[in-house]
Amino acid sequence: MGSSLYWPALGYATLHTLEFTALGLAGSLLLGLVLALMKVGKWAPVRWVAIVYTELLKNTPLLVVLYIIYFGLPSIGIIFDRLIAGSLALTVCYAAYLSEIFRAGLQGVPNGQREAGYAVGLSTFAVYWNIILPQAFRLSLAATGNMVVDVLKTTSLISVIGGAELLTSAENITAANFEPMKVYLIVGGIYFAFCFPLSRLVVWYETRLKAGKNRQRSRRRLEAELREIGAVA
Amino acid sequence: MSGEGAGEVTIGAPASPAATPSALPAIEVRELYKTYPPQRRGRGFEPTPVLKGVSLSVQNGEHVSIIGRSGSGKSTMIRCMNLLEMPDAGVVRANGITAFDDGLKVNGRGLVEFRRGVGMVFQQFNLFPHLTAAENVSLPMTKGIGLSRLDALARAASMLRKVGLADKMGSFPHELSGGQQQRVAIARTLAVQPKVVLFDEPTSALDPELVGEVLEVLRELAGEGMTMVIVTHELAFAAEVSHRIVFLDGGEIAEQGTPDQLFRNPTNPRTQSFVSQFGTK
Ligand SMILES: Nc1ncnc2c1ncn2[C@@H]1O[C@H](COP(=O)(O)OP(=O)(O)O)[C@@H](O)[C@H]1O
Ligand SMILES: [Mg+2]
Repeated sequence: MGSSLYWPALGYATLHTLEFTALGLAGSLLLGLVLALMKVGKWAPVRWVAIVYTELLKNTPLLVVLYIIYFGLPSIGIIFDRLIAGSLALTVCYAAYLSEIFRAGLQGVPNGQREAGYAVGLSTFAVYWNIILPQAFRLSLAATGNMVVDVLKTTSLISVIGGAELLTSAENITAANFEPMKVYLIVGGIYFAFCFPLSRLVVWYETRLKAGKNRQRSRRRLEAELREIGAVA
Repeated sequence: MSGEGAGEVTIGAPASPAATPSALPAIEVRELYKTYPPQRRGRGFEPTPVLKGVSLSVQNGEHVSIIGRSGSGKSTMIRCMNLLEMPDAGVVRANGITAFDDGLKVNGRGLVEFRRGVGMVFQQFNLFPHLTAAENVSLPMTKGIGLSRLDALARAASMLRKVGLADKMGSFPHELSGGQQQRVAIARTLAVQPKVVLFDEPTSALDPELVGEVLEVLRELAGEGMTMVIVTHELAFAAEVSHRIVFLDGGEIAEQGTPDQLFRNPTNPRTQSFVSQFGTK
């Protein structure tokens, strides 16, 4: 098989890799946030559920979790296809890591912020949505960005269940053309081509936040609005 | 009790608003008890009883200052008044809402409603660092009482003008001096038009040269007849604006009265010692 022949296969596989990444991220960001909120909440049983979940999944290899979901669960009648099984494994594992990052971010927001929100008559939801989460987001941005890149790289583990993503595809191609060096270098290059810009993007956004670019934009917006309503000259 | 100061108003102290004895208090706490749990379990870590049956009833338009040594429970008491701190026992009532009655507190929505009527200004300002001054002031209106962003900004702008910050609307908290931050915080508190405002040492975190500008805003607010409860170490200021001074000591109200009574003729030896220690400064 000439190299021109496996490019379409790698193209499809790349799409699958991105699909796993997107689903795994969406799931783990959401579940991670829920777990983090559970951990900073005032209700002890809820806190404990989140803590036990986190410790359990943080200390179990993702590969084992994936085996349990894909090979184990069918024995009790729960069957997922590869796409769901792979995304679910990423979701449940990365939710544990992300929940720790988000918890640290939430706890990094001083208590006075919550109190100031409650004191002006905001509901708990309004306090979290408008005051706590925006600040916690900034605090956890760098660590979350690293996790995003990590999820993309970890999709390669899903090859063990033949997930049809990049590494699976590479294995299939080398089995046919016996050019492992070349194929794996190409696949490594594709992972890098996605991960490197993603890491830089996170760094760029962080620098931008630090430099106050977003603040300057809010200020300009505000000044325009104040002029619009005639509150300033 | 409510008409206590009416007949003996002294020079310097404002006329008492408590002239109508039948009026319901604007805010009232009764027999408040609060004990903090020990910091850790084990020997040497005892629970700290902080409030030991404190009662205070403040009339509409009345200005009450709470003074006392550090650690006497002033913050705990004033924070119980808007239920940022939950008492162990007692009653907390304001603007006709009984928000706490011996362990029973109102539900979430009731609590939000209650707190909207009872503003609080903090020692550390607690402005929202990710928002401009104008947005800090409009947030309680847009997210609390459902005003549109532009309506809220218009009101925020007029509040900020009132506290002398017309030129700082687009500034972020870290770009403002302590005095300016505290004035933004006061504007933010007034944004939802509370009936009562609680101040917990509003000038204690400020450099001395910035204290005056904040006290000026408080003075103005007092002049408008706002109901105010002020924890402060600025005894001269307290004497000037307060109808009544409360001296809190060891979690109990040791003495209360008009500024003149409390500062010139304290009857309790503990008040005498406190006033002679701080009053001469
Ligand atoms: N969250 C808390 N947990 C435990 N102890 C506290 C807490 N807040 C205050 N205390 C203790 O309660 C006492 C009264 O504190 P506070 O009300 O802040 O006094 P003040 O404002 O008069 O200085 C102090 O001994 C303080 O250490
Ligand atoms: Mg205090």
